[in-house]
Amino acid sequence: MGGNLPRAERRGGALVALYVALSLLLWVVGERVPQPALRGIGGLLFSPLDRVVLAADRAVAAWVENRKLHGRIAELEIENAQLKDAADENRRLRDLLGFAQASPVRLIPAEILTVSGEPVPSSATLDVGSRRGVRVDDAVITREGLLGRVAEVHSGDARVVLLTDLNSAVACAVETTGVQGVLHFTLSPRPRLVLTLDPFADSVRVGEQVLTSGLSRRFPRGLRVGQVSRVGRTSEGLAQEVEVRPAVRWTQLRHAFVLPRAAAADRP
Amino acid sequence: MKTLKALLTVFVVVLVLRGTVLWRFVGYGVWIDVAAIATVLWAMSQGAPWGSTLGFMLGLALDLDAGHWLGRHALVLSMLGYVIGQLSRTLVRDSVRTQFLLIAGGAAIHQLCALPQLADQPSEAWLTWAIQNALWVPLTALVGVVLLFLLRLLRGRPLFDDVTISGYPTP
Repeated sequence: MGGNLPRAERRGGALVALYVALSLLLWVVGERVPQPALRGIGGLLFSPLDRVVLAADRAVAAWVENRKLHGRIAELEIENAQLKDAADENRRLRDLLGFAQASPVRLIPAEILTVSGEPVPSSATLDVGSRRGVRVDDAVITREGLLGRVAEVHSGDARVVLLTDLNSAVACAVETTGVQGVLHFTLSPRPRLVLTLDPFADSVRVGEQVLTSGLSRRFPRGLRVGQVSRVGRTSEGLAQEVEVRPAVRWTQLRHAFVLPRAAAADRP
Repeated sequence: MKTLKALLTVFVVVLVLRGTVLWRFVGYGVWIDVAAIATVLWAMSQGAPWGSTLGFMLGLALDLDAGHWLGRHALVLSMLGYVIGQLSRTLVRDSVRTQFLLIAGGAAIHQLCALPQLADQPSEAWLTWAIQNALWVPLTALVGVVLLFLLRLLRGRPLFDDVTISGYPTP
């Protein structure tokens, strides 16, 4: 039967059979494949192209943002003057009480080259890597709040696992009450961030801020994570389940900051 | 050689678009499956061997990106490329309805890659997945058809040649 088929057809059949076999093989032995190294090579090849596409995209966004920022600068200048006054007063009072000065936190600014994950973004690539001092497990934040943590570092780029990765877990606390729990991402019944709490914990109200608690060694205390959007119980009724709306807007990811662990340790 | 260059170009363009521009729509609840569009269109235009090759390459890249269950995207997209390539020899490829159905079918099949993630999830997660796909699959097909329409406008004549049966033994 196969002998009657044209040559191109036989070749196509053999080719797809090879691809299917390779795919199944990868499915079976995928864990042994050096995925980080392969992603590093991919990043090296694609980073320049990503930068070109993003440059055009950012030029338009920057123009729009520039108009907003002019107004914001004026507001901040007024606020800054007030804060300087407060800082002077604070320093004088600290001197009086003999408190040590808190060291300033050093952030590594980064541009987000790509975001991937289907259908929910689960990882991102930053344009900074080990050359700029980025290390695995450093926290990554935006001005809105916590984005995720560095999972892989290459010389010129780094891969960040976002809060929306299925394997991500962050120790968090509700700002007002200090109630603590673990934040994780779930697909059930719909994609969302959930903070699981002790059933006997204090009540949590919608609208309260959720911050990192510092109990997780990966993330320093006090980073903004999101806002409580719904409060319920787990299906087993054993724990409180608090739905959290992330502070970071996934649709507007452009810039981020890497918070090196040494700097993170300095945070109060 | 010309086809190989075009294949690499499509591969790079799809991955760059997917990683830079298209993910931004996800935040608004919209997902356009550009990998499925590319595989279907490439298979329609170049046939089964090239279709399965692009599908396999894109699938591998998507698998590496996802980091879980390596091989699932590669398996689905390579088979999709092969099947569409085979079908394209007997279909009127310049028909908008055919294009829409093929891309929608391809996107729907590609979404099966999410099944391993849903395996241990309750029925609500399956329902959400089904509802999302009921929206995304037609949207992906619509984007694919509009893309083909624009390409046809640029070219000024039909994109696909007539169906050929050359190479088959005459009875």
